[in-house]
Amino acid sequence: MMETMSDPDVVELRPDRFETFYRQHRDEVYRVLAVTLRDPDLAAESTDEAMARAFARWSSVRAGTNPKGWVYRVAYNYAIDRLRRRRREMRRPMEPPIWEPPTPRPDLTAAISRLSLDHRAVVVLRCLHDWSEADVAAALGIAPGTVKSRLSRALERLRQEVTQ
Amino acid sequence: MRLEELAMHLRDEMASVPEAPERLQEVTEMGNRRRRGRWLAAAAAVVVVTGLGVAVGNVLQPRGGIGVADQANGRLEVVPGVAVEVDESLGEIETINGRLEIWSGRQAPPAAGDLDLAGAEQLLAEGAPHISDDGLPFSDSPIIYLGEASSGSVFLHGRHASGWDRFKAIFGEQTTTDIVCVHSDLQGGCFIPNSDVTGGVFGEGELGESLVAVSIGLPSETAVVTVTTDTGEAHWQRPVSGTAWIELGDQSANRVSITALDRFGAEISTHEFTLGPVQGTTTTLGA
Repeated sequence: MMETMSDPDVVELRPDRFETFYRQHRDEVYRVLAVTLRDPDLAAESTDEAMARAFARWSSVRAGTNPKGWVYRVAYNYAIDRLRRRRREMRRPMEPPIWEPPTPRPDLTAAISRLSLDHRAVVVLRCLHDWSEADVAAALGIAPGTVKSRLSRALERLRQEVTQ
Repeated sequence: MRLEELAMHLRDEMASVPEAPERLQEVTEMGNRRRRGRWLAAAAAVVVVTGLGVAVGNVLQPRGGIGVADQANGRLEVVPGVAVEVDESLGEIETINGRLEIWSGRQAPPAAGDLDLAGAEQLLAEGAPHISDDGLPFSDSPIIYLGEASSGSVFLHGRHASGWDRFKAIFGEQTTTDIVCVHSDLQGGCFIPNSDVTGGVFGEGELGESLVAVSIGLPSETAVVTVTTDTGEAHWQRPVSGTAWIELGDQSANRVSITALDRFGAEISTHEFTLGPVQGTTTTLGA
């Protein structure tokens, strides 16, 4: 059976305000995710999914303290879920990153790519967004102390791997 | 490696990310489908409701009436009939080859992955997932439907082959003796559990704009129902506890036809109603 109902009420979910939010933040969320995941396609898919969920419950998301953080968190969790499913389906460890951005420091880019996803997410949010440890913890659903330890380990590893 | 140096490099990386075109229209359409899907998923979750209701009954003693929180003992009475929406920003319930557990009480330390750390919480119910065989993409659904409860917190644990995820749902206040509202951090909704009232508008926020619940005592072999209104709108859903939901749109519909189908798609019965005027949070049904 097919769903045939079209519901005009649903599309009137304050699209004007959501549209503003979408246009202000969508590209940034996508790019931060792409750097984190090393997978622009998955980043775009995850951002779209998170934005769709935000739209579906826009009045609630908008009323929250950090809608952009909410979208990032949903998108990140969605991406993690997708990666887990890929891993289970393929019955082997998570694939290595499939994209590395061209930069003036390819050695550093490669070292960042070799970080675990957990560590890379902390590094990217902390450095690119300059978020506090508490904000990063909230965005990733981990304890602030975990943010601190992951950041410390990630920086130490980068120090070791990058040729100064 | 200094943070400033790393930040500068990451900004270079960010600038080199390939452009991705805006997809605002597609995103809003996805959002609309998701919103609709929440209610369709509600109907399809009958197995979860009944399954968990039985499981919870093994742990808690029903007192009658709408679920009562016994905070002193850290437990919650749970009977079938209410939808709980989880905070999906925390992730999604994983049910494939997994288990679903319901916990109540104080929040445990957030170190996911070790059930021993959930010490302060009390296990209310657990069961194998009754979700995955409904033919609907539950793994994509942000909603898990439980039994009914009133105030308090319920924590949902989805355990799966590669670990487990943890979610929290907040149960809101009981607004009347017939209508219970349920909240998560992000969304809320109201419902009428096992009520003599034959219809009622779901009464809160976005969810309350156009939904009517209709308890019609569907045949037990009902697998799905098709709901058609005289405005030409129609959709299908799986009923929960003999209750179907009608989305009224702009509330201009006057008549509704509900056809029950068995699992093979054969028509079992058809029920036609006239919708009375919406008064407060309820409406009436006529033949």
